Amino acid sequence: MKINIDVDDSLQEDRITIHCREITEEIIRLQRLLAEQHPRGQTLSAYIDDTEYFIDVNSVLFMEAEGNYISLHTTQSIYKIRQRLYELEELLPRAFVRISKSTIVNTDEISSIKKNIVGASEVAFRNCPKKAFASRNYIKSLLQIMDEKRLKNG
Amino acid sequence: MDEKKNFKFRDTALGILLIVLALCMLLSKTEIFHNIPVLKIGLCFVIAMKFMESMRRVNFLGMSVSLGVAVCLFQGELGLGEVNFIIILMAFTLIGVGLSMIFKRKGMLAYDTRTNDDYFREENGADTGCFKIENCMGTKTEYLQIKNLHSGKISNSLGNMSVYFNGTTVSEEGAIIKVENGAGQLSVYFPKEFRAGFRSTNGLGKIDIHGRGSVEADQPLVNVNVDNGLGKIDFYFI
Repeated sequence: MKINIDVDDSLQEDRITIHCREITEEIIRLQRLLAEQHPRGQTLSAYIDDTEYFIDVNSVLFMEAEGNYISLHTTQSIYKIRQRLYELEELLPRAFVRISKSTIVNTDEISSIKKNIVGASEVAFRNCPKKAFASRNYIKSLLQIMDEKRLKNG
Repeated sequence: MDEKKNFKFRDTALGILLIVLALCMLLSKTEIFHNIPVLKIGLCFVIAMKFMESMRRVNFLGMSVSLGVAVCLFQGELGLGEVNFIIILMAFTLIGVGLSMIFKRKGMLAYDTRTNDDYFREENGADTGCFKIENCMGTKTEYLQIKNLHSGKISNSLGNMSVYFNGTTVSEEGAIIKVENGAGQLSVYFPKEFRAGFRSTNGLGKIDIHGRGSVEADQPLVNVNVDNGLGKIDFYFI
């Protein structure tokens, strides 16, 4: 695969176009990877009472499963979405990581992780007092992902 | 009113006991009481009161920890002189937790839409306006969407519990919420629109309130009665 970068001053915004002979799995993976880097426009449809809201995925701090519904937590509100957590997990960007059987967090919004050897570790978020709890089975993978993010930014 | 009287009586009794305990501590080293274990006697009164209060509330953990402290005080006389006091306390704590798990009553949600398949079509129907949720050990999150809330109880022993009141409305007469926490961590999230007043009893733990609720006088008042032992309770207005 050849990679070319063309600089064009006249463009209004950056654009990435993939030229390929046919759509293969590799091409799909590449497209997803690029989409995850810039997930603008990805929204979720969720409810508060009877009102439907279209929520930017990046504004979701974490989501918690309750039976047939999922509670989506943003800084200001809690929305409900009628879906199973595992179904939603497949559609979410890579920044969203499962931290327990019933909770998925947006790792881009995590401000701190308070580790607990005995029980659940406490995950806190930026600009919000809400917390989620990571079980012992999932904490290692979460910490690994946070380490990778740190190395990438460093 | 009865609730207020109970609180007053308990606070008075506890205050008197603490003063007695302080006097015992001071007098224990004097010549008059040199041979009398005044401090131990004072502590026994405090432990007895804690035990009776726990028994009244059927709080097995409170009862067992009180007994554990009493056993530590008299471990020599009971033939447990070789046993470390930490082990004794841990043993009684575990007994309390075990008894709580065996005999705990399941929390009831009077208004629970979480498993209702008609959630999006249901109109606000009749409900009792009350709730009761409990957590012993482990991590639990509860979402309460109660219409016309007038009373409720949140009880957490050793675990981590988060309670959200988003979507809950308060009855015009106001509401009373009892919050109890043993040695665990409890986070309660109120909507900013709630007007809340707090009355708390705290042991060796910590109670914090973050943010501010409504201060409008025409909003119904939510009275929050808090009882915290060794753990941490955080109230948030978001």
